[in-house]
Amino acid sequence: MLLATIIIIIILSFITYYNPSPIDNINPNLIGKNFEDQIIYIYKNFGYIYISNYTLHFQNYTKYISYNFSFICISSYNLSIQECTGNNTNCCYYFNGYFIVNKSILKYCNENFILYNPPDWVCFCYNVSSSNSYYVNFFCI
Amino acid sequence: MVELAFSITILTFFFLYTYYYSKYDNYNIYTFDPNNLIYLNSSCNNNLYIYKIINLTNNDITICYFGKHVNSTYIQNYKPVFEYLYAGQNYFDPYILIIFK
Repeated sequence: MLLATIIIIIILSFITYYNPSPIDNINPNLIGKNFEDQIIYIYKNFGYIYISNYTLHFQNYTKYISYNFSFICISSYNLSIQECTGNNTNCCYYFNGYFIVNKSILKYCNENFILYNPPDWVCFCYNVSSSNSYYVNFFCI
Repeated sequence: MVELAFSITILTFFFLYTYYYSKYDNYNIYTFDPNNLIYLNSSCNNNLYIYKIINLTNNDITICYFGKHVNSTYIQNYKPVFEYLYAGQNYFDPYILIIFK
């Protein structure tokens, strides 16, 4: 019995030690904040034209580490991200003048207000989920 | 009977240890501030960390081991404790930073 216990512990130790997926520990909240902070950083430091490129990299990255990530954006700039048609995600609503934001448009975020142009706006509602948790947030630059 | 009790005790301690150890790993992830790590770059300019930088523009992978360029065999026994997709430092040049411990 004692020998069996020791063998079980040795086997479990190997499994724990060589477990190659510590990335499972990252909370979707941290992934979401990564996206949000870097979109704001890009807008302030490099300009809005790079936002589209970053969102593509971010989509590939989250897929690679086995998280589901999708977003809806609202922008008065043309960000070169595909335009939303109602059913798709990872897309933008582009507007001139004003835009009525409501929950049915954003899919994940419960927001209701009106955006005016000017000032210029870029807003994102995003959703990060893993097998057991998720994070949703809305932000405007 | 004594042997059974002893085995159960050892197994319980093992599971408790594994549980807290994995919690500690989780805790580590939140102790890093991405703003403080943006200065780590592929020239291995920091000798406090073991890190990997994956440049997404040209797919170059750089591994820095306490300030030295090394290959991946140096880090195979270390575990990633922080990951972040930076947009770039002085210009748009997206890269993934992974810190190992």
